[in-house]
Amino acid sequence: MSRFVYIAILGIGGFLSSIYPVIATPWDDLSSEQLEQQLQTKFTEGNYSSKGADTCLMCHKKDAKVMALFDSVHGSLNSSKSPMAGLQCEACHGPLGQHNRGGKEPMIDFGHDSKLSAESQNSVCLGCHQQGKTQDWHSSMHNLEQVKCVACHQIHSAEDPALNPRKVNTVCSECHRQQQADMHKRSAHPLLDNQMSCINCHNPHGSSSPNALTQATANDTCFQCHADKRGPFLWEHAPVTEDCSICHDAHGSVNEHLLKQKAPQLCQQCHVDDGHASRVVAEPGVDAFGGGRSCLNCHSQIHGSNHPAGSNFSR
Amino acid sequence: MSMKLNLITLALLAASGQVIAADFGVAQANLANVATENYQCQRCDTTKGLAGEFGAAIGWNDSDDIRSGNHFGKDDAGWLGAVSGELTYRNDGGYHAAITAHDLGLDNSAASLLAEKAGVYRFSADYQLLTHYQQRGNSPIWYSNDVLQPSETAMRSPELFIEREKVGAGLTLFLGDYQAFVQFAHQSRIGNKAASLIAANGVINFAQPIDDSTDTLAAGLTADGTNWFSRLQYNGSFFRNNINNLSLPYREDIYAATPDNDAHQVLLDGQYLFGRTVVNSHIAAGRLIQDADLIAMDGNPLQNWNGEVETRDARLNFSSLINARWRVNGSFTYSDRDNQGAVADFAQLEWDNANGAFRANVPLDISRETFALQSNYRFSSQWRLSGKYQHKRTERNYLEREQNNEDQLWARLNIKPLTSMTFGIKALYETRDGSQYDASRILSPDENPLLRKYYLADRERYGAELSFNHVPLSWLSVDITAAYAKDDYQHTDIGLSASEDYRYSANIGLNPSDAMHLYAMASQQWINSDMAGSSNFSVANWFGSTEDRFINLGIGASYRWSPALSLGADYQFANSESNTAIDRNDYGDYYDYEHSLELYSRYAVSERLGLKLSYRYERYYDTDDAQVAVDAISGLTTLGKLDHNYNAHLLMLSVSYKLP
Repeated sequence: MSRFVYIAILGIGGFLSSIYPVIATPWDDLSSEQLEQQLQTKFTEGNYSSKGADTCLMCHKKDAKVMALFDSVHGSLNSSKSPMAGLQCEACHGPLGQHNRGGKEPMIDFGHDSKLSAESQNSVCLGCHQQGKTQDWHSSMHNLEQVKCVACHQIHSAEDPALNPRKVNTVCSECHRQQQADMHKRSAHPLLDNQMSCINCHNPHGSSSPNALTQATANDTCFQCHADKRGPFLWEHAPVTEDCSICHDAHGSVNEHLLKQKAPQLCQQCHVDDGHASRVVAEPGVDAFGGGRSCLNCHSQIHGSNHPAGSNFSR
Repeated sequence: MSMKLNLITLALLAASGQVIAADFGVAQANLANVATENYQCQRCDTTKGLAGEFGAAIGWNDSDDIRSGNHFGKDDAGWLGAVSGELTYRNDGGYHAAITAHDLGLDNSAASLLAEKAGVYRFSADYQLLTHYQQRGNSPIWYSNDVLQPSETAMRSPELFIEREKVGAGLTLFLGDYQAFVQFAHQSRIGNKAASLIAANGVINFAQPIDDSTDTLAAGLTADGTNWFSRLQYNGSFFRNNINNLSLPYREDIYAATPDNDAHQVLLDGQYLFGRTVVNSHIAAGRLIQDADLIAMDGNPLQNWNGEVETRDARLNFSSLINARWRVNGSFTYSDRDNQGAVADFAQLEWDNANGAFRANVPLDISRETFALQSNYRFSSQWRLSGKYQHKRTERNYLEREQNNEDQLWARLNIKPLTSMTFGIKALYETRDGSQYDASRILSPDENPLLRKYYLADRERYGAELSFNHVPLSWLSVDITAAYAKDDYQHTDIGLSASEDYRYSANIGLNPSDAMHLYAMASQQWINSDMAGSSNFSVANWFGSTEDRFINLGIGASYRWSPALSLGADYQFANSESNTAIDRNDYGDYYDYEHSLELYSRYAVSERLGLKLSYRYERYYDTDDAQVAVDAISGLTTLGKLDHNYNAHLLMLSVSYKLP
């Protein structure tokens, strides 16, 4: 990107930002580092309020978003693990300090508009959510790319869409635009209608597998729903055993059956024996090699065969 | 934590210029001056009792193609009805229950039940019906009692579809620092899929029935402390096929059934926090078993194969926050598949130049090791650099190439010139090589020594990605992503030799008022690939190229006309296309397009009673030049042309009631 384009975009963005004033707070002028240091000092001093949430709600009760916390699990007063059972609002937003004395001290704030780094914001959540499904968070790509927990999760809400299988795809699609578009390809898993969800295959909190897959390998992930392909078969097709993604694109394809290319081209990229597999198909639909199911007309059991005479996957 | 220690910490912080990253976790809180027993929370309005809403919908579906059922929920035209709802219950004792239903009555529906008492137990039950419709075929051969019955005159129209019905339940008990959990699910599938076999008079495509089930079981224990977590878990999966081997009237067991199989796995996870460094480990041992009876025939020495595969997986991760700016992650992953199935010679019905009429099965072993190091450094709140290096080594016992080495390196620079604006640029470089590519390792069939199978071949990949996100106004957001990748199979004479993939996505969202929301999006992708073939077992004598094209456009709006009435519209267009040319002879059409439109209005009759009227339209067309009529090609019986060309309409009226 040329310097001119960079400056132009920066200038337009700055102009647009400046013409829409937002409510100013005394700590708006602080840099990210200054804000973080001030909050850290405040956190270490530990000057919590004397009455907990009642102190906060003296000013914030009129904010519907604040009060929506009490519709959620984080607002439960009866769970020993809920923040409301302990430091209440200050469990997440830090000690009150002098914040209620004219609002001159910042609190820990979350979300896109917060200047606080993702690392610091997430440390609040990780204070309680370090185990189980989130145990791989630290090594995850989302953490490395400094994705904030609240970029996906809604805390002050009766329902967190990220935890709803029928709504989580929309959450993921906010960032993963290309995968969102892929749902519309000629063949795709039924993500578009939320009949499947991204988290069926991926753990957004990270995992031990490539691409944060929920299972140890790509194939194990596929076998969760396609156990008929798992085998082992008497006659195994090597790429099937090795990795389903050698032939299929799980996010969608312009070809049928999520195939990266259609037969016979896909098959001919690995099979060029004695003129049978590699014959020239100048035009599909004119003979049994290029028409119908192409190579699969004969080699139908391409995922593996248990027929004693099925070494070429035709039985 | 004592006040003295806090003062020392404060002094260190001031002196160090905050080299230690902030940790605002509640476990790090200084509680010396707080008395939470005085916290009453009298202003807290907690939700208690029953809440939520439920509703019913009735509609009319007008479609003459079963494929529309994938989106509309029913594959046939006519009236349809569905029930949906979300109800929750909470009480003062920490008990919480929730029940949800989504489109019960349609072919794609779901329901769930949750009952839990915080810190004591959690019980859940789920139901899902998932149906995928493909097309109705035409076939002179049909399935009956394990026999494919051919007919000279009668044609049938088998419906190609798969219906999955899944029920599951899970229970977790919370016992202080311990948890015990068990989850069970049963999934059954019915339907028909396209399959083929070689018969005496040629090749026959037929509708193969599907009737199988998969049971899964997961159970385990977890234990955690202040700085550690561990989990011991068993996973089991059991596939059962109710369809037997298929026969033709004149030849038994010509087509083997998919065999039953079992999978077992025991895994142990652990995590330990050393200050700002976290170490995770994972080990798992598994076994895949398949011991179905083999078809008895001359030249088969085994009654059953006793197929058994041992799997071993291990992983060690660390993640260290060196200081407030710098994180380093590392990982080692090991995965091994050891096929211990017996090897024997089996008579084949085709003569093979190398082995005659007999071939031995080859149990496939594969092991993979991956080392990765990744890092992220935040120069300031505006500039951030991340990157990763990964080395992967794959070894197998059965292919032309015994070993592959893959190295990947990428770096990404994130720039945030404004709070509301983010740029990202990523560069990627990958190489793949390995041991000598030796076609002679494969005894049958003979492979052209110039062939390089694309997933084994030497490859060089370059890639770049750009991203731009901007929220210039509180009511306007823009994001654009673009990506390019080029694969060069630099030592391939025959096979896939090169491919490139480039795409972009652009989205804009507007909320010009509290009552109105607008969005528009566009995404396009181009994939070009080149390949070479040899029809005479020599050097390449034909060349092919494939150009894939994809576009997706969308636009939508919603508007709250009044407190009681809101209106909305969404439109999506998608077009997938693949153009192949062999020696510059262009293949025929292979593409699809789809227009989807939804118009809806919601009207609040009262505070609790709501109505929704929606209209959905779907226009879908696809074509494939390879699809031909049942008997269009001599020696090949197809399922007919399985393409689509339809207009579908769905009009729905929903009534919902919201509980107090």
